[in-house]
Amino acid sequence: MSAAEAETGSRGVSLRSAAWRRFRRNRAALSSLFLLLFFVFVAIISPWLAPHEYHHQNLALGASSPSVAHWFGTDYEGRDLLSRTLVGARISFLVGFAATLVALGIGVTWGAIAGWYGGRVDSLMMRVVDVLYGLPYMFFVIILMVWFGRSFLNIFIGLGAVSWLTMARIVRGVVMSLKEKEYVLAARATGVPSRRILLRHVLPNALGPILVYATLTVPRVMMEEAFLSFLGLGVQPPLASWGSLIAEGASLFREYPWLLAFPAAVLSLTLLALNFLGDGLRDALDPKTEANS
Amino acid sequence: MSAADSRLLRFDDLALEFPGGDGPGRDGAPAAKVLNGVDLSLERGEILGLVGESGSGKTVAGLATLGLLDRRARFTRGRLEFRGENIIGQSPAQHRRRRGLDIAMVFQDPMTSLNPFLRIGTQIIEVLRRRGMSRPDAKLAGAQWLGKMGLPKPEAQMKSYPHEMSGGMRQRVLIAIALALEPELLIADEPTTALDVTTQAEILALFLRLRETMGTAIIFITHDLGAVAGLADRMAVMYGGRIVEEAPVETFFAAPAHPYSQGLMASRPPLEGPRPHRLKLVGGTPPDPRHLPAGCAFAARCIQATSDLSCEELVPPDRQFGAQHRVACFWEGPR
Amino acid sequence: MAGFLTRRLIHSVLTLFVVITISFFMQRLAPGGPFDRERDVPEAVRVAEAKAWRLDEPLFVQYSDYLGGLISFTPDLKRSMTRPDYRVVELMIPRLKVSLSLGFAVLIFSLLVGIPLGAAAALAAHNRAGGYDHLAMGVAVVGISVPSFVLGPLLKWVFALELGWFPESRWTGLSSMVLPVLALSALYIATIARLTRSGMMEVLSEDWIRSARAKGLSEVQVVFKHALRGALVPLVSYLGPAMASLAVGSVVIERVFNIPGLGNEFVDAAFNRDYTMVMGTVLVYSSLLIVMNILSDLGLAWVDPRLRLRR
Repeated sequence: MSAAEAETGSRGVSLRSAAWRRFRRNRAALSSLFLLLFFVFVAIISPWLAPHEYHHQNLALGASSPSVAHWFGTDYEGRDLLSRTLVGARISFLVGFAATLVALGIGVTWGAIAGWYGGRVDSLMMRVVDVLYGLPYMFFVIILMVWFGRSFLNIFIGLGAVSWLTMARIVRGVVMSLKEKEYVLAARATGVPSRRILLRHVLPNALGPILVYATLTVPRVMMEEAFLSFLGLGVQPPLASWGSLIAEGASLFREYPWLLAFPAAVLSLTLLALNFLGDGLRDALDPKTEANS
Repeated sequence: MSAADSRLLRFDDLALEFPGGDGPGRDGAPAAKVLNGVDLSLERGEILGLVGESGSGKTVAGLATLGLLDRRARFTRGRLEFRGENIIGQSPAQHRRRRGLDIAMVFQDPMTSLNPFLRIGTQIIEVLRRRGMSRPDAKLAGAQWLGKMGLPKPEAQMKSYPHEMSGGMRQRVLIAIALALEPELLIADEPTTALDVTTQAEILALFLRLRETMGTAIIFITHDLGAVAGLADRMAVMYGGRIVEEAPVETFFAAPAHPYSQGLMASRPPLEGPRPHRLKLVGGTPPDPRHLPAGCAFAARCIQATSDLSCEELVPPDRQFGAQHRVACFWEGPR
Repeated sequence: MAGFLTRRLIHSVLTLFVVITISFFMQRLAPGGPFDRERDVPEAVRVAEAKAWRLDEPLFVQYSDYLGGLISFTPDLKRSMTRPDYRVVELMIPRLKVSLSLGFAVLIFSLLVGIPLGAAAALAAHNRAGGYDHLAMGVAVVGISVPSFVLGPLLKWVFALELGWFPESRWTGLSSMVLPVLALSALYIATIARLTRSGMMEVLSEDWIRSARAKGLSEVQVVFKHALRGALVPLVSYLGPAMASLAVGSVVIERVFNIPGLGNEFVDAAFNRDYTMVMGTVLVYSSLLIVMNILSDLGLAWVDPRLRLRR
């Protein structure tokens, strides 16, 4: 009830603070947020933090189990797994955020234009989305990576291109419903240019769904990057991402279980936290679903 | 004793509330006191008009009778008797046995009260099957009921889905479903609000015929005084979870005693000419059941309330006003 | 219904056309070619080989040649470029069988486990017994978060290597399906459970569920006859996208468990630049997706009568 009351009050600020209040009460989402902030922070300062060079080989040492010198143990070539996991963190987060930004850029623009102009523009643009939806996208990404080189740019393009479709649909829906709101109609009637209305009035109000979907896109993209790396199509050695570490670990886990255990645990934990965070944001920003839980 | 025998339903000082400190965002909120000592009774075969604004507790009273309230609902005092037996605190199974067989309810919105995924036939047959009817028999009886409600081509209608019907047709289907088990008591919760005027009149005529042919007692919940005028034997006005006035229809319409009832009468739509869809009944807003005033719940909106009458401090007790006419108000009236 | 199918058919042909075009030009525009790696082959032989595959002709000629082969009563997918003794179709069929049985096993297993799990969680939440609900949905998020290529090796480790219950990496039929199916199902069980739960929660708060209760129907009737059908709507519309992600998931799980399926074949073909084979597998996957999407739409109309009226 109090949530509903808060929303009938002044728009915007109180809505946001009500959402924040609801979010804070969600313990799983809140601890996920802190865990992620910690992970991202560690990933950023990892060059100063890593105990060893991630690519420094110590063939004499070989694969050694976790010890005081090497907390996560070392891999077959004697490289420190903790340092490699930290490098992997940078790459996984970078890919996750960058590809999500690509998806965000294309998807929001596409969806906002389609939803705002409606009519034939909309049906044409959405038909394109429909057709692209029907494509086995990851197969194209695999082809892209194999044939055009395993570069970062290709990872961003490939994974970002997969994720913008849903974003476009969501933004289009929100824009279409906001288009009929009084304050937007008023702005249109007084001759404010479309671009200004979209940027000033419409998109800020679409922020909730966009934020939620973006939060849920990051783990998806990170998982897809790991998937590509697992197939040997992601970053190339001696660089490492969590996916490539898991791939190495998976082939050797019988003899050296820690090689699989640590990267797998870190990746799963991160994805888990991102999913909890996304769910929490959705519940906080959309009181309808919250009332049910 | 004979009077007690003919009583089908009796609310005796029934009070219930929904706890406040439950669910996110409601920590420490006070309980919502939805019913605050309802006294009301209904005889067999009687039609009672229950009038009040939304939030006055009409629907909750109906749901309580069926045992369909949210699990959080807490009865704080009073009794609710059906055929002389207190049904408060009975098990869900006991309530369920009564539902449909003894008491049926028709809900407000015909557009959302039928299951859109199931055929009309399925939805009426499953009720008839509760009486142990065989499937073919139930199918036949179901079509008959639809026919009795004035639906054209009832056999064909059995196969259609709710979305293929108009609002009026759906409401007839809902009433047919409610009546198919020939319950002794029918609770109709604003059954005509969503319908156009012609259909409204037809549905009301249907209710009258029902009582004549089957002796069904009906509680007709509405906020539309006009609808009850031609239908009910008795009127009860509900406000803030209490019955504030109760009288035979003729008495009530001739001389309403409670200031709220008078307000309702005054704001009635004209008998002739175009009828507005919904009227703003009385100035002000209904009381918040979480923060009920200490005295009369209506005092803040009442044009008669004065400090002499201590309306703000005391809850006015029921007062006999004439034969079968009671009112819960300190004001003695213009007389 | 006929109109719907016609429109879907046109849409499908358009989609397949886009698929063919994109993959064709991607492979021809990429640097390198299928015969580059055979370094010790004399230049003359290499040119001859390229000529045999008509790789020396203008792109557009090659493109229309390939399209022409497809548009006929007996669509021609050509021969495999790296194994020219075999036709692409010949190579694909046994592998497709393996992948399909894996995929459908995952789908059916996930539905059987996911729907009851989600429905139970919704009922628990509805009856204010939130404990089970929170637990089930927490586990579901874990299921969504742990990638199949992490779960696969873990399952292999525990059940194949340590316990020895199932074969490790040999494809020997039914018993070798168990672990891959389990590894791949986790994501779908979790997603299906979440969809069923939210669908069920929404339906349970509908007016017509209250009407059903007012009729005196038993709780079993209310849930299974009145609520479940509506609750399945979001689930049925998920089946199309699920198939798409299942196709991708099977690629990685086939590699983890060394399963001779189409996904494995696709990755090998991509690495070997076997253009015709890549085209063939991508086309098969696209067609599967299209069929699955149409089935999902038909299923939706079957579940929800309100959708049947649409032209």
